[in-house]
Amino acid sequence: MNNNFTIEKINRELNNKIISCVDLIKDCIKKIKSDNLNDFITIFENDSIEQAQKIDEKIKSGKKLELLEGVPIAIKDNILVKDHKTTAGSKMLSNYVASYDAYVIKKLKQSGVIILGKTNMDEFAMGSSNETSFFGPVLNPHDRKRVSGGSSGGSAVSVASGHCAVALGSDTSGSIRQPASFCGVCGLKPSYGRISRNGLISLASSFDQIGPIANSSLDCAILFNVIVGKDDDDATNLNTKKVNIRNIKSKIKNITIGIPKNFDNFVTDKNILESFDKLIKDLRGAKIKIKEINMSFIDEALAAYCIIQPAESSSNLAKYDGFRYGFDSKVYDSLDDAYKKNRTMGMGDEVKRRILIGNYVLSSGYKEAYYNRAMLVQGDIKNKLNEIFKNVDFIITPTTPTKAFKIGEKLKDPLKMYFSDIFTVSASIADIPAISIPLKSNDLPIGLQIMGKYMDEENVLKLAWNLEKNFINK
Amino acid sequence: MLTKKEILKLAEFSKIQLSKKEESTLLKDINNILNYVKKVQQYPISEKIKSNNSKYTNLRKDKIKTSQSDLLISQFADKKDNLLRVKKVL
Repeated sequence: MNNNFTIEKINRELNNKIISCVDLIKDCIKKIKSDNLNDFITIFENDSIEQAQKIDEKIKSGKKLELLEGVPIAIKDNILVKDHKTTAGSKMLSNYVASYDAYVIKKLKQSGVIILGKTNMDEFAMGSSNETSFFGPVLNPHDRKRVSGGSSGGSAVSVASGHCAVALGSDTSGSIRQPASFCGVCGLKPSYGRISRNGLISLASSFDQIGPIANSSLDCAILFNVIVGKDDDDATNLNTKKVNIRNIKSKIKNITIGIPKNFDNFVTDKNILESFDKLIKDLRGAKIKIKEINMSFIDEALAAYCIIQPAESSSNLAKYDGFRYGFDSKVYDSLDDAYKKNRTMGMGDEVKRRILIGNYVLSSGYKEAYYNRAMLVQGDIKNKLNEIFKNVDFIITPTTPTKAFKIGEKLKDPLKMYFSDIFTVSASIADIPAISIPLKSNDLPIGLQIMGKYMDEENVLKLAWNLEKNFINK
Repeated sequence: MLTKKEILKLAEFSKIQLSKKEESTLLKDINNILNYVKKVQQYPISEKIKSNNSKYTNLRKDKIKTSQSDLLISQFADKKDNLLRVKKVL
């Protein structure tokens, strides 16, 4: 795949006139269409070529491009881009045209990147395989019979296939990290509150975070710095500092890495364990301190998430009735019938399942046993992780318990599908940052997950950069 | 666990219609999930944890900003002046 399709390479080649921006963008669009991986829902063909022409005029006039000018980017289709369709992978919003730009899009437009289009995703970000999309599954470029992962499947595939250099996804319990792992690219979930959610179609408001997907942790860091910033329209936007790129690219020293005891009980693929064990051996050989830690709560973290997330989603998705915007079936004869027909015909099975579960766990007689209890479990897990991080600087695990599975393999068993997130969900439950970077693999891609302290994206990216340079890609 | 009567009540509340086939598959799926998630009830919670309230500190000043109402109203499929027109309520 295209591991050298990076921001710095594109910037160098455009400034040195090795390739024109128009040719670059046209090549990307041609590849998107000919590869047929269904990673894009909408391609901004005319707009992106027009922007590329302006970039070429700037170069022709003798000016140097800033780092991100002309870099092709793909945007997950739950992030609003003004005057373009934003579908959230759903029939409900299949013709919805965004009336404003998300905060992150305003920031991207200021940087000069070229938005190639909107990427396919699990419907309303509910899924771990990109199979629940109204627009069909996204195919894994490493094996077309296998899933891309989800819910940011289209974004991960667009980067892995060289359709663009970088992408934005969103992560609620693994939706950036898991498809990044399945497709062999890097994906970062920032700490909760780091990136403004203004203009991100909400799934679970206390977990959702927008994050970068790229071919390297360095490009994730560069893109992170573009989209981070203070946004008064998001009350949960808590820390708006950029990360220090120079520090990220320096040698990491005097760290302790935690590895959860018995994590291998959840891993069913031998290759994943072999690759992970080899890395640990190499780290110990380089005298990096490795410590076994107790994370026996990861199963309960997933259980708590499977209560809290549907609860929040059932509330967030109550707005979809087809009146102010969205799918209108026009086959009803009363208001109540309209709500039911529009929602039933406009939303898929997984969405309905989660809405029903969410309303159940919040309902009278059950809220105490499920939702309230899950919130207490979440609080306890957060405390336990805080304690763990007093003795370690990072926690590493495989990103996923399996490699990319076959299309259709887990679709009929929702619980099996939720287990794809067994390693990623703890970071979401605890609001902490986590990145997935590719490990060496004999066949299908494998991901390594690095979790760090709350709001410490800089050190997470620094460890990722150091591992890529000195251990994984050596 | 969820009964058939409860799932129909939930569907009514959620404004979703279920086919007969969906009633039984959803019932089975949701009960499997509820059977898994109920482990939160056995998880020992330390006494210090009373609640899990997040603190939001990024509250903006109470000042009127430009409104996006016109943009949003322009997307109504059926409207009269600035009002959204829907089917009769009663």
